Amino acid sequence: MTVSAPPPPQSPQPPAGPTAAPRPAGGRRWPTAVASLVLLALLMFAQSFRFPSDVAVTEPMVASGDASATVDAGSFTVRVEEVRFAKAVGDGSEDSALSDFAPEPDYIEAKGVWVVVFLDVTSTDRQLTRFESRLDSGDKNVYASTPWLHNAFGSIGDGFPPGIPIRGATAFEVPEKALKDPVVQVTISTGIDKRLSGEAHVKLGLSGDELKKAIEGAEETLDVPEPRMQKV
Amino acid sequence: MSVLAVALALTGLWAAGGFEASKSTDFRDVEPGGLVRNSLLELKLHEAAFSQDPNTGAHTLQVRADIKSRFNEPVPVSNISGMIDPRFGRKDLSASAMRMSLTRQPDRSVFELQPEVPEEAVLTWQLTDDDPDAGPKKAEEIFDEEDLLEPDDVSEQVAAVDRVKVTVTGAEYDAGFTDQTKRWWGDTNTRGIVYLPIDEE
Repeated sequence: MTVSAPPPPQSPQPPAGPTAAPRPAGGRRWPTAVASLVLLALLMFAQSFRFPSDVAVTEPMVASGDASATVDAGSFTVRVEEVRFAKAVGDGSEDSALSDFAPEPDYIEAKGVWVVVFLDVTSTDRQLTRFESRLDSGDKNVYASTPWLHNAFGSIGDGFPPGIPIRGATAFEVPEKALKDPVVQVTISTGIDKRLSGEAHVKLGLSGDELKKAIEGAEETLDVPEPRMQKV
Repeated sequence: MSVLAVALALTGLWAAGGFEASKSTDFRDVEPGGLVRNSLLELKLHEAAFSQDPNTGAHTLQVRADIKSRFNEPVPVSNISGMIDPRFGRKDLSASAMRMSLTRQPDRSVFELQPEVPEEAVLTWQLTDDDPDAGPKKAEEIFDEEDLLEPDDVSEQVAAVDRVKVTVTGAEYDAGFTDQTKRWWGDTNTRGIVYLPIDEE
């Protein structure tokens, strides 16, 4: 006769005690953790959509285009009519019967070359007064327009009445080597505060050999005319 | 042993002035015409002279300099003026409101420095009889002056001065003042001190 020991309990009893209760719940906890992580990741991703600063929120809104068409910057439109290169520029006198007798303009020689951009500017719905322009050379530098010409846009007396195109010029003194694929940047506003005003970036469409030829063929002198209202 | 080393190091540190920012600027002396750089400018100050505005009679200090901006956008001259500080070592003579013109266009003012274009410039400051270390004036002080528009007569001080100490500070591109738009500011670091003899006009 063999006496066998009573078999050990087959069904594994859940260990008694307070630690037993959360076990099954623990199995269901991982989806929550994963969901939390996913949501956190989404939150961080959403953060990247935030404007980097409150400056960016009120910065001029840029509309880009090229010289072949009118660029609509919201508060104004701008169209590049002509780009001319010159070794020296001066304020041209008004065309009249007497202009032959006017003194020769005081020409300013460029260190580099003058890039003179002729523009038609039309304010959309209210009088704008302050014109500012810069030239992105397409290399890496941005140049300010010259303050030395009274006739160029950007002087104190500028006025852009709504709906009337004004043709005028803005001039940049730029080292020849810096010019690669120039873009003229125009903002027109009503005061010193440019915030929320429009800004147009117009690609002049000059690069490579065409640009080189244009620079080599720069005029000796160029008279910059006063801004003039155009017929609508 | 290590305690001794630490003690020695601390003693050395204490003797050298501790963690206080170094105030010594002797080693930053630059000869006239020597290159001074900060993160915005490359500057060579060549010579200085007193002169008088033919229209207003105001006394001015003029410094001839080679100047080049290292930034890729135009920089207003008004932002640079805080980085170049001329002093005469007197309490009754100070230079303010820097203007700039180029020697190739002496009659035209320059308001913005173009990127990476080296220029020979004339920097012009107006001279006043204020204390250069005094804080900004109160409105009453400004309007109490009898001749508000009359320039200060500093001919006596000018006659007694024969050199100017020009301090060039560091530059930082930072937001501030009117809004969060970034612009260039002078900082408190000294990048170079140039002593320029002043030619009598």
